[in-house]
Amino acid sequence: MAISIHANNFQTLFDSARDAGYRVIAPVRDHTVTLFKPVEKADQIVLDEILPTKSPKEYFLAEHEPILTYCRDKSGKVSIADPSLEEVMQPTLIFGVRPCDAAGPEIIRKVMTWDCDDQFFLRRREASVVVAIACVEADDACFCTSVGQAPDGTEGADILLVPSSDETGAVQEYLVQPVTDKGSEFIKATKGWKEGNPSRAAACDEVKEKLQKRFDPDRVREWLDAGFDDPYWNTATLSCIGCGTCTYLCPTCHCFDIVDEGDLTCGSRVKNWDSCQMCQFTLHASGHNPRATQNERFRQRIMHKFKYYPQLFGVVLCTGCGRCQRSCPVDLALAKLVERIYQLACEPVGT
Amino acid sequence: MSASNESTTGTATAETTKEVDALRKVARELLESGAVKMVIGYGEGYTQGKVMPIFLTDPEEVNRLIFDKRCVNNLATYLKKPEIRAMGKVAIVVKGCDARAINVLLLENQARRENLVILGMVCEGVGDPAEEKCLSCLVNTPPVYDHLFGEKIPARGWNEETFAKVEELDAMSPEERWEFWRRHFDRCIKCYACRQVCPICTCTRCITDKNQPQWVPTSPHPMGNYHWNLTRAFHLAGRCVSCNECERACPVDIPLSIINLALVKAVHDQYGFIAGMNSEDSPPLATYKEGEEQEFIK
Repeated sequence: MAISIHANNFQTLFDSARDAGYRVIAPVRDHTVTLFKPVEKADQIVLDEILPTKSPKEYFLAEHEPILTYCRDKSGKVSIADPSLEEVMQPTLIFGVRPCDAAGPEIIRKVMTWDCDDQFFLRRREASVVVAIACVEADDACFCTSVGQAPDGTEGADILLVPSSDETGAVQEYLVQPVTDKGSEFIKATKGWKEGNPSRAAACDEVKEKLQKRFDPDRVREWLDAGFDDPYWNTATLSCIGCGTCTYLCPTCHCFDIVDEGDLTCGSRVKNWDSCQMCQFTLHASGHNPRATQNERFRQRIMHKFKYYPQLFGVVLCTGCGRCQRSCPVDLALAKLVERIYQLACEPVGT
Repeated sequence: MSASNESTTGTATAETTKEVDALRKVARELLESGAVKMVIGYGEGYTQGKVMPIFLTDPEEVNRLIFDKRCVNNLATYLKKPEIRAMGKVAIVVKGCDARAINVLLLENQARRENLVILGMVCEGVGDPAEEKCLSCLVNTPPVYDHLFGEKIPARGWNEETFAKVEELDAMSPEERWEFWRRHFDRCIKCYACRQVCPICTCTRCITDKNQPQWVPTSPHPMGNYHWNLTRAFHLAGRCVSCNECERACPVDIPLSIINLALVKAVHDQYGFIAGMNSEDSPPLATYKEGEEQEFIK
């Protein structure tokens, strides 16, 4: 039996999710940007943009997370305590996520379960239900289909809503596709859903047509295998100012730094987002920096996404969301650079 | 998908102004004669309708240079980049606000005048609608240049709107002001784009990167965000040229220009000094004069 939901029933859904113990996270306007934040009212949420400014990555990999606290008492005895996992384990509905953003944490999961299991990440993942909404629009920065994703992709989603537009193009109804068992159970446990199809067909064919593949990541990787010292890197990224915006907004960048914060008696060890585009990211205690220039740091970003991660885990570390282009203050579009690498890879040898 | 896509480096627009034609001609001469190793300017961006910084070494490429209302970036920030410094003598396209940044770099010995050919553009303002910084521009004609493109025009200058937002905040109670900034700083993700894009943030190792001890917390929690954003602003007091690149680069749009303007106003009120108007005047916060008022030292 088909299931659908009308936008008028989002409030019912949110209320019933809260009754079931979930906090509700969705894209809302904050000043001039759109961020995933806790919401009360369904009319606060913003679903008509290509993408929110930030991905919902922070609800899996927190921007800032204490991982232990320490204290030394007057006798000099040191006690160490684990952080409370209450917030980490809190059931969370993350609503209105685009498929590229939903896929991000699923791709990161591979490294988060690689040599050890990152409990913070995994427990957050376990405690959350991701309701994705398929795209009906894309801009020039979007390139999900080039990296194996799709505007109606289901990777990382528990439920996918496929928009059904009325004759004016406005979306009020959605066809509901449960993707995981967790998603099916969530539908059973909450209200607002309706049996039957939306009144008009739900599809995103137009946007699929628009999102032609721009490069083949396998050919890109082959070029990168031999291209570490290629002169291409000397000039291609000279405009990069090393601001790290692309990494912080990226749904798949997951590097973090661990620092101790506190005074002589008490403090905490915290995990904070970090970026390979920062000059001190690889700075050694000796003063030597193996990635001394911004060109090398940008190369690392492309290498990590299109060579190292695929080699290790069989998947490109990119979902094609295009934030790295939209938010770059110098319009240095990563996908354009990868497109160029693809062209270089396709050129006959010797030319 | 095709391997023979057109060039992805952007193409020159068909129509140009006589200023841009003249700019291209000078750029060509500079590169052909070997007078400079590189010309830093604006070109068509990767994104339709956007511009991006371009770095020309080949005189045949000078037709990629453009200048129009989209050229918001302050290219002077590249003068702090080691890769650019290593080039030796370069030419750089600047608007008035960018030229003020160069003046500060010259004053602080962060750039050598003999290593620069400054290609100054007379600028009536950039952005559509016009950037806020342009509405109070002090330097529609750049204060320093080697070649000037366009007829000199008078500066718009400061007006009652220039510090309106600062005054609005000053009129608030401390609690309201605290709440205003808490709300904005709450969005800070500590990406440091504000620092990286700033032409005046020239420290090779920023205080926030110093961790023995860690003076500025790296965490994006309320204390860390206050600490960072205020440290950044204070270090730019008497040095900020109001190019507003920090606010433009901020991915979460924190209104940093208001803090910067408050400091610009304070330095002007106290010392009658405006940064970057020339490269000779001693910066008040880095200068000691005998006989100065000392009463504030207790």
